[in-house]
Amino acid sequence: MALPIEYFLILSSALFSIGVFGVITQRNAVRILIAVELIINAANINFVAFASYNPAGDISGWIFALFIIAVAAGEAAIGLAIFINVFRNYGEIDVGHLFTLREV
Amino acid sequence: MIVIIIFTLFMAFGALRTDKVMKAAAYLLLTLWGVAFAYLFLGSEYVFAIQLIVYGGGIVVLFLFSVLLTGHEEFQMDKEFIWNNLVQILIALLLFFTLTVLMLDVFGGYELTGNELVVLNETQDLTQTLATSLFTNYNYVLPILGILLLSAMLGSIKIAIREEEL
Repeated sequence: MALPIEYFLILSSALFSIGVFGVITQRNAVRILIAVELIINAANINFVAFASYNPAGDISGWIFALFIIAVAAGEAAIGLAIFINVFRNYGEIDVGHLFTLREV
Repeated sequence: MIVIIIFTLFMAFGALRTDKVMKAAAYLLLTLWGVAFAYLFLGSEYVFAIQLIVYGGGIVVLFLFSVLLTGHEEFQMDKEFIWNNLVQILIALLLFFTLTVLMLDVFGGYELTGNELVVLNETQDLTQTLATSLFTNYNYVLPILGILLLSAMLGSIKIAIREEEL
């Protein structure tokens, strides 16, 4: 079964576009973070795909994918901690109503 | 593979258009599983496993906790939503077509006949190659990741902890 690289490129660009759409339309901060995770996954798919299709058999892209997954985990942890703190101070996490991270 | 692509994209779209944030986290979990299976098709079992453990396990649980702690509000995607966000929808579609055309133009044409990976796997165990290069060429990656995750953990604890009023 031949597997052209186009499948993965289309999957990643569609996932990226859905993520960008989410970031610019959603108001809830947690949903925005979910959309950012989609964007990160789209980039990751490209890394793994290009490494797998490399005729030289160089799989550095996989290592970069692991690095990105770890960075995304850290980013999600920090982001969610910030949103929990914002919710504690303001009682909501609608980004349309947020103007400062400082306690008022 | 086509089934995986359609499943992943539907779940990703569902994560954005569902009415409850809790459901969005569940859809995100399914999207991440779809991406993990795409990794499996690409022959990298190790990244597949890490994706399932870290994303499918850790990050989604983190999201569920934060949704529970921040309360969830209803969100409705009706016709008004589509009309109000017409520009954003057009931007997303334009981005998708531009990216797809560009990437297919530059990188298209490569084919992976399932056999190639098997042959590659027989001559050199790919997971073994990954481990070897992780501990030789890229031996600085793991310590950096350790420091990064430790600082992220300490930072999130510092941010989230409630300071006692003096």
